[in-house]
Amino acid sequence: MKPDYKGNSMKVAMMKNFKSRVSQFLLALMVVTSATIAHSAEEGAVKTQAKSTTAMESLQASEIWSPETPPHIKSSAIYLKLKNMSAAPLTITGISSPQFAMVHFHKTITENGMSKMEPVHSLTLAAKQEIEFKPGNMHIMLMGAKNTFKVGDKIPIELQTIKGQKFEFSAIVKKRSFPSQNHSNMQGGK
Amino acid sequence: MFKNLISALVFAALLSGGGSNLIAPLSAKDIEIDGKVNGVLLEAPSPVKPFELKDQNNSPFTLNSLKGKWSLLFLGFTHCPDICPFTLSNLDAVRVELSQRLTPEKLPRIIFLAVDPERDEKLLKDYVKHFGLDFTGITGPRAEIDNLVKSLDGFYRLEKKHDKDDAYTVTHSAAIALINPAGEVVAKISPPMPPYNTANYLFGLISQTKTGL
Repeated sequence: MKPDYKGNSMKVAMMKNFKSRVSQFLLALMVVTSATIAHSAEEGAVKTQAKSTTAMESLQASEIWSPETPPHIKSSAIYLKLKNMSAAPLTITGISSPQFAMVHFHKTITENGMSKMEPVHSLTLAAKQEIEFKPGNMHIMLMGAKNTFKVGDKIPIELQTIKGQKFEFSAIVKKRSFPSQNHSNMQGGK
Repeated sequence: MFKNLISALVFAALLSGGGSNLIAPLSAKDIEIDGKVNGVLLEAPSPVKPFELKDQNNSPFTLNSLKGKWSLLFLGFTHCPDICPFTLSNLDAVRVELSQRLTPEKLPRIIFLAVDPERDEKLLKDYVKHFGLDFTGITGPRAEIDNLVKSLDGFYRLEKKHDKDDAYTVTHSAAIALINPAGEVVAKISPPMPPYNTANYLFGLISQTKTGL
């Protein structure tokens, strides 16, 4: 039996690499029905969770935000917490956004008084591991914006794991504010 | 030779977190230990050599413009997605803290040296406006940028992969130079800068320096 892909042709098209129809069907189900997005009333507490009842990969993204950029600047960053909810390691190999020409995991490295950025081509989270993406450290780098974003806008992001599973979430554009010193996130590097 | 010594000192201090005995540590006695300041004081003030750049309003900005006021100078590029905007907002937070300790004439201005003029020049005005009212952006011809970068004992490199690459990043010095009203680099601080402690550190340096200001 052929699953009905109507209305999801784009997502399905992206999965053409998969040989097994069964896994195609499962993945389609996964993307279409299981990705739940819960918006809490509190700004910035948007949580996106993609879950499955089977032994499939499960990933949770929270506190997803992107700082408002100065006018005409086409590059930006997304910060978030990303947690592997599954009991096995999960490797993310692909990241994209329809709103940007280029999206990468990036890490700003400051050593010997020098700041540089290095692309992180694949990111593996151990079982239940959470990684915090924060300014001056790991971030999702966005290059070549196709639109301008203002505070409150959402930037869609899609992650793909090495097993071909896809996760979608969106980042809220917020005004950049510097945390006060007593904020526990003040100190970078941990 | 002297220059090398200074950079070796700065380097060592950055590695050791400012603990070298050749470098004045921050005065710990009046600091609440809640965030380390990566600050280093140069053994002797290092004069900035002449340079000719322009600010975001296209007005000349030269060595003379540095004189008569304290400055915090940071080197970066407008397309920098992460560390530059982060550092600028961090500097703004430090400056807000400092404004509670220093009179306005001693309060350092924040200067952003944009080292990627091909992309930065036309965007600088809006960029500066976005980050704060009292904040100066400067850029100009490559050779003049290099003059100033050299005086700061700084470094940058455009990571262009090919001639038509327009999505390149820039590797650059992280440190922010504290420049006294005589136009001399006296100290460097590195992000992240806990605003309260960094303001105390800078206050100590600025209020103790005998420069007439």
